[in-house]
Amino acid sequence: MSISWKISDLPYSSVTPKSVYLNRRGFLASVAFGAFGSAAIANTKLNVVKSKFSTTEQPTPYEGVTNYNNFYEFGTAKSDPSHNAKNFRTIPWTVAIEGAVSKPQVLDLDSLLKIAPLEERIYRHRCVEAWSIVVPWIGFPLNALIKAANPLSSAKYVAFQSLYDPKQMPQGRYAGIQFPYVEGLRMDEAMHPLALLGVGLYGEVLPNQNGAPIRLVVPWKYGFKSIKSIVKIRFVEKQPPTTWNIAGPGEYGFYSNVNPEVDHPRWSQAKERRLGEFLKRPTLKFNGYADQVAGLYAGMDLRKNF
Amino acid sequence: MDEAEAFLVCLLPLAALGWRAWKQDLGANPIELITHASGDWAMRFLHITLAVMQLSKVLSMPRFTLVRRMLGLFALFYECLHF
Repeated sequence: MSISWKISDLPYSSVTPKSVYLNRRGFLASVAFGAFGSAAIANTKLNVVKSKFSTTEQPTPYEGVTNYNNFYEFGTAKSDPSHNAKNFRTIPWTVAIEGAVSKPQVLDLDSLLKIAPLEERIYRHRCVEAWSIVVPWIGFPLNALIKAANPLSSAKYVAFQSLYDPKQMPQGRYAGIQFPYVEGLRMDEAMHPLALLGVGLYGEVLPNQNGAPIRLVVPWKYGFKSIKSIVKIRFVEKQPPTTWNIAGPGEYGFYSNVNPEVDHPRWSQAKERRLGEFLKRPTLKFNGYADQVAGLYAGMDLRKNF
Repeated sequence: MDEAEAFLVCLLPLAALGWRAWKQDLGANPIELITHASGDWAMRFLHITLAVMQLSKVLSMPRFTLVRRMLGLFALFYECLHF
């Protein structure tokens, strides 16, 4: 699959209206988010670099990845986000970089996309609910943003926050968890090459229900750690609060590494249902990324630090 | 209501599920959907079965009691599907 996609010099003012974009599903033929169809930009090519971190497993069909979502701000049923996020405004969008950095700043999508070349990363994605998919993400390593942000030595953790707009997310009131959604990573986890800032999937810009326009993808952890629709990245000294840990401290830990040996209090994590398969398959430690990440947790009791 | 008619009505949830399966409208995780649907209907049949005697008085439908055993067995049926 060759994807032509340019990190652009086109400003957001030239973005095609979202309704037009939604009717032109398919590979992006031209520049950055949503700018379709102008003859002048139709031939500009972009390279999405293939990554050695991609799995060779078969990606889950696009319809599954985009219609089976946990994005409780838009409703708690799996089919809710794809229905209710249709008009979610993702342009203009900014991400605030704050906390223990030498220079706090606010980046718009143009600036974010200039940080590093876009890569295709085909990752396994394992939900804490014991289902899993394989997603061909497009994004750039989180560590590139961290290096650009230049955190101070006092920064030990990276905290993330999603957008919470009750007007656009009326279903969020009934979600049962606190918003805005927050998450966090230890600094070494955040700097790990596998940690991705996702901006697209299947050769396209992220659909709204998948956490547009920019989200985290941490494939060795349960899916709820991969926070969607990021508006704030804050470098902090102490372990930051995380939404699901607040909702259920005995059930959802800060680390939440995929681990078949540590069950959820209410169900086993030893197996998972790969969407599209009939029988459950054994869950792999660190979601199959043990070789790359196990070292981060050497000497840690993974049952206590679940 | 005649017992045969009641039997067919109780089969409607299964027919609805079968229709969706045939139209490939079971979503990204079909096993989960079938599990939830059969579980939901097992619960509904159980509740109806337990309420039959009272409902038959309140609604003045004494013949409702004649299908009580069938409703209970359908609760078991959907529960077996669920399992």
